[in-house]
Amino acid sequence: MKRILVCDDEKSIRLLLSEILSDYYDVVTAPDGRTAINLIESEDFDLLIIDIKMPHMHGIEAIERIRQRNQEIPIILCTAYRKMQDDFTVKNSDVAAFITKPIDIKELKNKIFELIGA
Amino acid sequence: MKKKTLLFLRFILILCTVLVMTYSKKGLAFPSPGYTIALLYLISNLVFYFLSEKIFTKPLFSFFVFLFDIITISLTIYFVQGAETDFFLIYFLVIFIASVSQDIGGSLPTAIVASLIYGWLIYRSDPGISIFDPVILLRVPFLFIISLISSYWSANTRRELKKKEELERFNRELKKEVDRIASEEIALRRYTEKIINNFPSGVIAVSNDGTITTLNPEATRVLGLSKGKTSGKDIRNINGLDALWRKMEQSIVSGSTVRRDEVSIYNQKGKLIPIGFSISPISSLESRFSGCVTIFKDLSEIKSLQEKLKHAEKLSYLGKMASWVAHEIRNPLAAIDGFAHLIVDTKKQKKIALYSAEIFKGAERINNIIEDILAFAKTKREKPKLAEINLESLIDHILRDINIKTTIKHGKAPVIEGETESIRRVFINLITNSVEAMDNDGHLKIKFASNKKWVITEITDNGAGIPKEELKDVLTPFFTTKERGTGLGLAIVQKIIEEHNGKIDIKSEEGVGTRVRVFLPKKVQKGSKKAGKGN
Repeated sequence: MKRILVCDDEKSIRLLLSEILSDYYDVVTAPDGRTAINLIESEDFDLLIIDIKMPHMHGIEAIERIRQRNQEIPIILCTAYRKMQDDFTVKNSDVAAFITKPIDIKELKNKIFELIGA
Repeated sequence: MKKKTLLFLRFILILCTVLVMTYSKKGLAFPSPGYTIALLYLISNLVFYFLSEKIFTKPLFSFFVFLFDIITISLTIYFVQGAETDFFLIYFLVIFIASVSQDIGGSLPTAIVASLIYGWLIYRSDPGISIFDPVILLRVPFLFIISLISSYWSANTRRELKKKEELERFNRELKKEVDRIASEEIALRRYTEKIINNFPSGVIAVSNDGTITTLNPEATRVLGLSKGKTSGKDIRNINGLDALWRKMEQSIVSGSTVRRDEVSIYNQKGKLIPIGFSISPISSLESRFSGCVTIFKDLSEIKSLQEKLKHAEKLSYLGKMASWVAHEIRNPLAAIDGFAHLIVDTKKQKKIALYSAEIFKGAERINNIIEDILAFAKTKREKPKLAEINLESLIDHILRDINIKTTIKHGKAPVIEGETESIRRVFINLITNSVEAMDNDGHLKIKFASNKKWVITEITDNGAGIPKEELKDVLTPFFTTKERGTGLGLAIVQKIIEEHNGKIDIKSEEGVGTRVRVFLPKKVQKGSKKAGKGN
């Protein structure tokens, strides 16, 4: 079973994504960017779904650090923002897809399937 | 002695000699030895006339001239008049001129030479004459007496003259100095006037009775005064300046400087102008120079810019807040929406219960966000409901619902005046923050203290602390590091405290804990005018 890491500071969003995806994938969650980086360093994941606005280390910084460490993992940015903020800019090449909150479950499942298959 | 003076005196001397010779018994017939001597004598003065001025300043030359005179007179006595006549009196004239010219240094040697020659002349005319003969005994000492008296007189006159000259010189120099000081003062006054006139702020000086003594062009412009003579006018007679005059009067009476104050005045066109000013009292022994000087600036433009900036800031803030609200609400909304979809797709009761609970949590979260926004956006009430609040009992009440080790250090009854619900919100937020930062073995310490002005409540925890780089932002609206925080909690706390004229101070060290100090104004005792103003 392919493994997905979900990183969001909102507990309910972490639970929601686990509930949506756990029938098809092995889902692990992290409450902040730092924990996510540590998990990616120590374990193998096929996909990262990450929020932008999080305390201590926001999603964009976490993505930069992951890419600096030569991690090729595909990343889906899942955010309540509709457009990128001035202080949150990310290279398109670093991110495989954007999903906005509230989450279209169907769209999310399709994107994941496109990226890593079942 | 000057050449001219000496020659003139000698000319008198020669004239006297010639006159005496003319009217003497023997007369001045031509040709006769007397005539030759008189002619030569006259020529000698003419010769001296052609000599340089410089030589006359030499005492030796003067002495030579007097010797020449004595010899000439003696020759006249010898060849013409005879020692027994009164012609010897001419010696006195020579001695007198010598004393005028050289004082005692000139007259005494002349007197000695004259007495020696005259004594010899007497002796020659009458070899048997006794030294005690009245002719010798009276005439010779007289030469000396005349020499002494005339030198004394001459020295005295010279001294007086010198004094007078010195006095005149001193007067001349004094006048020069006075003129110099006067012209310097005029230059200085012009320079000061130039500085004041070119000063980019308004400058107005008034005396104690309100008379305007100085008013620069900028002051005239700002106050809209006509360019006519305003100096000398009573400031109280100029409409619209009452508020400024009151401030000046206060400064004059109290003798204290006013720095960077603001007041609104009406200019002469009736326009209300905000001005920023400073006043310095001037005290002087002369009452017309006592008063004050005011420097002021028209703040209209600055105020208008500030208003514009405030408006722009408000708009930018509104935009930021709208974006934040959208983001904050979309998160719980995403949960509600997502779990609602899951409920539709599942038949398991357990799952339905779990998802429903999440939906309720999401709804509650949205409600909390709205509550926080309303609390933050709440404008100050015109007439707040003020009550006396004992912070100790208020905090005691809050702590009842908290299950953590707490130590309270009591101080003097910490009583303030304020809106009870707002103050309660402040301490619920602060205590909740502390409790959330600590583990189960956390220890919350609360300390009350007060001084003349403040009631200070100190809340200390030994929780995670705030990282240094985040500490400066904790009071900024929408900033949060908490999983469930809206980022408005501390902003609301700060807002309420500021509305109560208080202040908040937060110190924190990561891994050690956080200390928050809330300063609220002490309740003023009844009877004081300030009582009852809680915010």
